[in-house]
Amino acid sequence: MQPTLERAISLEHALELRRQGFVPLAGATDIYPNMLPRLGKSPPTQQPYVDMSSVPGLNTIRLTEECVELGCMATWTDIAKTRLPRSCFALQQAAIEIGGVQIQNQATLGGNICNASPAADGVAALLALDAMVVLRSKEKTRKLLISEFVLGNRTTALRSDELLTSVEIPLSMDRTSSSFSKIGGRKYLIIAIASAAARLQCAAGVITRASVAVGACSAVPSRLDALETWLVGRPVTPAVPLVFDADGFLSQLKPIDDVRATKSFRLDAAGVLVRRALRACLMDLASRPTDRE
Amino acid sequence: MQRDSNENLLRLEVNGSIHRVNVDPLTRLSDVLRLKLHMRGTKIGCEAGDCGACTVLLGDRAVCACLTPVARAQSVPVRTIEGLASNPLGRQLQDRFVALGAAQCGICTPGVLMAAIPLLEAVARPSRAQIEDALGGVLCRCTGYQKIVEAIESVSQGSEVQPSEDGYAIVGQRVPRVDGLRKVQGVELFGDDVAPEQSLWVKVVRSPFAHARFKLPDVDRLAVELGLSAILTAKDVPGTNSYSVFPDFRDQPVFAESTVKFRGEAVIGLVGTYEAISAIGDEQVGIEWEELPALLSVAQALASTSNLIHEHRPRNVLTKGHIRRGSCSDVNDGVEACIEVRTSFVEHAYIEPEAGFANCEGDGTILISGCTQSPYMDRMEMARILGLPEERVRIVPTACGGGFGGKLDLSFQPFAALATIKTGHPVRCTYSRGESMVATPKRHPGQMNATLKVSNTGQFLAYQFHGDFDTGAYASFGPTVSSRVPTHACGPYSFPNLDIYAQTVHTNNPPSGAFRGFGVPQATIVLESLIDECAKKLGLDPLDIRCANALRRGSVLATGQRLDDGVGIVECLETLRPAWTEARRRIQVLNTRAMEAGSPLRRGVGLSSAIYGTGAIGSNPSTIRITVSRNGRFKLFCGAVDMGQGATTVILQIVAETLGLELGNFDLVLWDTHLTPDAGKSSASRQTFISGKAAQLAAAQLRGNILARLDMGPSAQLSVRGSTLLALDGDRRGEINLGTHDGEFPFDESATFDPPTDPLNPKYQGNFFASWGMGALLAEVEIDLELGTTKVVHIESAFDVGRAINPTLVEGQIQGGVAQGGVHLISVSKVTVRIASNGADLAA
Repeated sequence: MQPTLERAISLEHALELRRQGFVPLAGATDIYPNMLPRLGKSPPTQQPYVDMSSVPGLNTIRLTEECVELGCMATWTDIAKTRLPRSCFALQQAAIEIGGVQIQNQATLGGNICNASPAADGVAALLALDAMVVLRSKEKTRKLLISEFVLGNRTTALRSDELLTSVEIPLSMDRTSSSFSKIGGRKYLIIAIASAAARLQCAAGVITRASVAVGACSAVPSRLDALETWLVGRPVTPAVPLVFDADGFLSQLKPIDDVRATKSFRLDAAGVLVRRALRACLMDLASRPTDRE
Repeated sequence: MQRDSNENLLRLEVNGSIHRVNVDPLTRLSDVLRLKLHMRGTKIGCEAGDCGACTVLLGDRAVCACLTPVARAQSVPVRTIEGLASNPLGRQLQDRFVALGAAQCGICTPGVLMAAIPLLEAVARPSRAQIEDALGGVLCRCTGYQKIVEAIESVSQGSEVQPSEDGYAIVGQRVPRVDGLRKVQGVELFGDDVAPEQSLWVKVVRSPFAHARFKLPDVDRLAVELGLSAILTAKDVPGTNSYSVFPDFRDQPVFAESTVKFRGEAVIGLVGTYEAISAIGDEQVGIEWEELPALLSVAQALASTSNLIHEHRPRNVLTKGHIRRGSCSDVNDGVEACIEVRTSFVEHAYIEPEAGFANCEGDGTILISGCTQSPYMDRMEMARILGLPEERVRIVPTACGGGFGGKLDLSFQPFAALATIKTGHPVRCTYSRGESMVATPKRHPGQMNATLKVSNTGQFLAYQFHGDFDTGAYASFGPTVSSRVPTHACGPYSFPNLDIYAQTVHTNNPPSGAFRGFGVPQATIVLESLIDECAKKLGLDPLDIRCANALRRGSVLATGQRLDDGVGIVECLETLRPAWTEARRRIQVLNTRAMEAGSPLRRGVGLSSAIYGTGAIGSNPSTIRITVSRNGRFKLFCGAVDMGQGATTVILQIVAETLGLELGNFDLVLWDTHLTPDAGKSSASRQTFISGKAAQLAAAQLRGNILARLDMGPSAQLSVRGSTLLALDGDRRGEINLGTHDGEFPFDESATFDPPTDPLNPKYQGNFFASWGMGALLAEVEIDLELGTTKVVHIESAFDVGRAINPTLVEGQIQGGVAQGGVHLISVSKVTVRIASNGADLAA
């Protein structure tokens, strides 16, 4: 019998298996539920998997001068428990909101991105952090912005000979804060009805750069460009509530009605979550007097 | 790529022992543990990472074994529940779980314990929030988590077990449940844990359509093609291909014959090895489907004249119940409030999916062993299905990993039994989570509207209620809903005028059946909401208006039953008064503060009462047998299934107390239709009351006989020393040497208790329940005004439980029931309220 899981012993080995058509297996938290029987349907054809967990070093999290580099097999527990700069706070908040402890111990950053769920908490956070993904094949390495990589519901720019090996979150010289929040039906083990992530940079008491992303309200978590432009130049004063036309800024979102929530609830919730994420960033920035992280 | 079998041998270290297994490396670790290593302490609840029952430790991290490729367990040691006792912290945690009643049914307990261990190993004194985070990935449906969290806290903090509460030696004591140790050690056997190793498996192919005609392929040829031992169809049913929970309503086929009436209905059964049945998808079976128009709502079903789901049930109405008293329309004083409430289907979601096995015993008896709440009912229905006399069917319930009403109906039993008859092998059947969701009964969705009229002084004058309940495609416990709702819709309150109507309506939805309360919780939401509306209108305190109208001794129920004792509702409500007053004051302060701070969070506090008739309407007896063996051991033969509520412990406490003996004097013979007398079903809170009473009667009879033999007075003290039964009455002493007696049991007593009740009648008038449970609850809820989300901050409850035989178990039932009920309440899909004064609309 052909085994359905091949343990890669090195990145080169994994890339060679990938070239032969093996599907990378990261945290495995989504593939098993997908194998479950469905009424009137046959189970999906079993593909051969390459086990990425046996490749040494892929779960490393490193801080360099320019960025935070996270290996594709870093689990959400790894991410939550590592000391990271304030700018990565949104990702760490997302990490502890994913599933329960068991899922956080198993599920990985790389898997969350490549799975490309519209509700992926990690993707919404990474989008706000301007993260880059590093894609390797036997022949070459390329980097894409996360927004260029996740293309649609369950669709990515990953080529058939490539593996996503790491993620880079750029660091800025400006004071930065980020925040993530999501809403679901209960406290644990929830798939987001809506989520929002924000990152604000400031200098001299003024917002110099803003990024805001909303998850579970479109086929791919999306950035709110118009709101970002509106935010730049505004003062960092959490005491003054941000008054903006949420409906206008959120109009690019295309939420759906489904078993978890209605379209209109999702939009309303997204607006609230965006405001709260921004307020959290502003409070954090205002509470830290120095410009050093 | 060719490999020899040696290369496929995976090396695992589990609890310090090395195992080598020959399996596909992608196999779930949970399957390897249970099926290959026979370590069945790790439970499977969903195979999707949603329930956490299969939590094990990989190194020091908790993971779901169902999401772990076995290959990944090669490089790191695995720890499971079976190894927990070898770790001192694990032992301590197990002890606290038993002592504090943190395990009820026990199916989630291994997962809970394994999830708690990494926290306790890392943090000596974890906070409540840390404990909640550690447990967030494990679902428990029984306990409401409170005692679990307390048990984990007590490991680090040390806590006292409460002392005895009154003069009884055993009754009223916080006796640890007798099966507690088994549950925390992971050795308790549930439905999926008992099949013989060489068993075949049966998997049911179910309809993907709510209503359809179908044609089967040549199943014998298909069985050969698919490498199966057999395929079962309706033709394989030797007896009657219809069953139900009531003899008058048998309408559900084991296998559909030519049409299916709901999505998820059983069509055929595939019998073979685990590998063979697992590999087959529904599409490969080649059933030809012709989809038909389906009735998916009560409104459609009631309006349909041509499309009848069961031809003999006009307008698709299964059953109805109607109670009238006085004239509601003649009441024109005071205020009135109207309401329309819709509730949804609710799934029990017990963490143990339906499972068990069947085998043919030497004398041709069909043995069926698995999880069930109702072994004797199962035996009756299975005998009819198999065309056998009842004594040829033996039901041996396993531990039941949660029931809540959902395991009263047949599930796996006919499939496993028919497969064993056809193949001659033992055959096991385990529902997947998805199958358990689509195929087994749900809570009835209610579409209810009602009007409450209250005098200007706050006296309840009239209550009109109309409820349509979606009973789905088959009867199940629908008839109980249409009798429970009219008899309970008035809550624990008195009304001079009443008009209460409830009907159950067939649709092509899944069958609705028993789920904690049989429609009563749905109806309670309606009345309690109306009481608040009227209180608001009249400017009355919600607690005062409830107290003023609550039942008292001598009150007469809607059914005409006069309650002369056991009416504790006023005391329950008054017990809540201090908390009510304090909560109202506190939330006012909190809300003012929140408003000033611009916070979107607000608190509210509400009240509700509850009433529930214990047991079934009409005759529902229990029989309990107690024997004394020649070796001096007492045997309690108890057929009352304990699905976590603690029936075994409670009944044993009653027996020991009545006989004046210690718990250690008894051996238990549990739940086996060949060995234990009929103790009815475990439902509607009846086991403590009915089987408990039968146990008390049997024990009293036995004690009387022993004392008569010794010519001792009723106050004599009994004890056992070896095979000698001793009695001491003042300075008189007597003894019976049991060893010299003939026969197995020198003493053998049985007693039956059937509560004195009337059978149901068309006017719904009579004493339908011998005992009514009552209670009141206060809930403090936080609402996020911006997101519309709610969080229950605190619940205070006061229940009139009579004498709590075991306070720990009673608390566990209340905490678990409150948690489950709270979830039901916040899932109510639509509430519309209208208030009127003297007939005029005030607000829409």
